[in-house]
Amino acid sequence: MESLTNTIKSVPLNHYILLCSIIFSIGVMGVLLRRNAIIIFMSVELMLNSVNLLLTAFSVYHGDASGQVFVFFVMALAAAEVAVGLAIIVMIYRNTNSVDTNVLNRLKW
Amino acid sequence: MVKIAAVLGGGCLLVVLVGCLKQVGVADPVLLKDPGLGLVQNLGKVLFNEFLLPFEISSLLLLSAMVGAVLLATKDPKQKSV
Repeated sequence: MESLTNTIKSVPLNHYILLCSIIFSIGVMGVLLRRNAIIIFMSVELMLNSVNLLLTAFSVYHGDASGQVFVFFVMALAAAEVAVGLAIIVMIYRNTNSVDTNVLNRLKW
Repeated sequence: MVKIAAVLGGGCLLVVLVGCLKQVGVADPVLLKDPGLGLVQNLGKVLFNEFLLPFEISSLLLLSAMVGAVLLATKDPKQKSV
């Protein structure tokens, strides 16, 4: 346990930024690649959470609590976005009987 | 075709980000200098003093999102007869 905390303390800031870049790129690729609306939402969440991770890392690095408060606001925004997005998905499913975004290329029924 | 383009675009983003980070060099390790930084008490003090107005505005955002979600997701009474 002691060695684990010592290892975590020696992680440089670059590695956090690298991890967040990789997670963000996975999210971007998921949005571009997948055609299922729910999986697109999961990828958007992945992007938002990578930014959250980066905000907390920089907050600890600079010793400033503002970054962690921003994470709260990003989480609230993500919750609002998911609520409206899922409602839109439900509406789309009622109208087209699928959550495939290829069906929506005309945006009218 | 679209999938190849998507992988290419996402991969280009990753390559550019990693290439930019290579220029920075190794930074200092992330050390918690102030041990009370992440505690709920201190975080709450910051949240309710400096960020009180954004906090209240976010409550409005959540309320409007809830109303919008209910409005979008409830069935139309016209379609119920079908």
